[in-house]
Amino acid sequence: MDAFFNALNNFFLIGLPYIALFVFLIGSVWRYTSTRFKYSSLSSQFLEGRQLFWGSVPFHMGILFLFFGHLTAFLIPRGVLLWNNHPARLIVLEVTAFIFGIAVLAGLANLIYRRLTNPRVAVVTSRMDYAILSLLLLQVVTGLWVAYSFRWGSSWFASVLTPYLWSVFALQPDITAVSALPWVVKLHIVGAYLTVLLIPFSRLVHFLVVPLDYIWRPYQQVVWYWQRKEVRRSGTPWSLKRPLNN
Amino acid sequence: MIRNLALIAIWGLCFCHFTIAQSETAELFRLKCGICHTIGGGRLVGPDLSGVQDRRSEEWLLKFIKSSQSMVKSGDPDAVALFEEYNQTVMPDPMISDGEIRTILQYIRENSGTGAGAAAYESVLADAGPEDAELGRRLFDGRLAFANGGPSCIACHNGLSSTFFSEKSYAKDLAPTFAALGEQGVKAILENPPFPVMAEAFQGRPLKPEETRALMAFLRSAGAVSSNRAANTPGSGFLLYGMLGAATLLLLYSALWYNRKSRSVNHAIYKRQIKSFN
Repeated sequence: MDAFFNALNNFFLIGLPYIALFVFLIGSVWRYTSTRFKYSSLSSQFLEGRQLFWGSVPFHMGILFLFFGHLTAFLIPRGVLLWNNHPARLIVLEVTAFIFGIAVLAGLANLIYRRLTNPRVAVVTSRMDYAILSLLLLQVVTGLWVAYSFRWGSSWFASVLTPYLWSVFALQPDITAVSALPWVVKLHIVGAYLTVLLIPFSRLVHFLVVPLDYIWRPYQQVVWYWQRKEVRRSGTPWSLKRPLNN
Repeated sequence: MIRNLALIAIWGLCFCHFTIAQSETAELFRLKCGICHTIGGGRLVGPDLSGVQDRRSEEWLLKFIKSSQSMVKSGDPDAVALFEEYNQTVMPDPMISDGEIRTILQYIRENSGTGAGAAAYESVLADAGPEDAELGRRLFDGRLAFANGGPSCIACHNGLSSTFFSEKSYAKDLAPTFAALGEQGVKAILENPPFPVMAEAFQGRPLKPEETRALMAFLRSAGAVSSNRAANTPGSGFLLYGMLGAATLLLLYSALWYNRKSRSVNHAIYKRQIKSFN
């Protein structure tokens, strides 16, 4: 039985991260070069907007906070430990993350409900969309579970998980401490690896091509190079001047 | 002559190898077992291992050392009795091979009755007062950082004295620790953590002797006042704060996007089409 659990730990904590990273890197490049125009998320805002707001906004705002929170603990664990050195600061960090986590769960539940119940949205939903939504739901539920039951995650992440993740990147994986963590933490880790693995094949690729320049680009200038009034006259034949945006 | 010299050299090499192997095993015992056990030095966190082979079979010992909790959970009567006798203190799995465990058992057999590891313990808390306990509390809570950069205890253990930190924590409630393990046991664990997660957290960042002493003083005082803490401490409301905060956040989003479109642009067209289709 011990050998079985050791094998599971070795596969999920050593093998899977390398498989996920390899597939993510190769798959992302391959998909970008082969199907560039599909390298994004198919928007459904045109089909339904009201429910989408209560799903997409809390989900994306929360996931951004949590993603960068995890990334900070991975990149500068010492800084997180220093921040957490005062109990008040530790509480502020943990409660804020927990609030965003609950908001993410609420948003995700809305998005799943919308996909399942709105017929217009259901038509443009692929199986991979359902797979990704299920995986994200697993991640959010286990994340909240860990945050609630095994306090305080921000500190022990920086002390225990960060060295493990660095050991993976240094190609010298050390799972001694991670193996001893509760199974729900390990499930959260495995869910993260699976998410990374599926990025190239799902709508998650949109985070690699976020149109950030939209924020600071100038307004679009539409330049018409034909006589608009002339074109719109019913007597003008299409063959003479076909409008390019119709 | 040359032959004799060669024989002496070979004999010397064998002897050196034996000595090195012995010292390696002693070091392995010290790292993996010596924190909680002695051979002839009396009880520490766990039982005195002197003559342990006379009390249990080799196979039983091998299984128990590999994973004591598996045996406790499987209901092995001897394992359960030991677990209960030692205040349900979990013996962490040592993560060593069967061969290494057998080597350690051989080392224990050879040193049983010789008094190895039976050094007399001198208390470091004899003159510790309330100010030491207060210093320990500040280290425990994180108000005072450990000199070598280790995480504060509150990262994984509940706070013992602070209401907000009294609920679920990753690791054990330390209130009964001092009474259960005694000064020597607590000191041994703080100086050389046998638990993999704690060992990783303090890897390369060991506690200083004065920090260990202050923490021990705090744990002793916390244990003394902990009996009414569990009964009287209200819940921290972590979940409640989270729910209220999330609700506020949703209201904030709604206010920030107050001019959002309530429906998709072609909603009326779609409805009309569906109506005519039906």
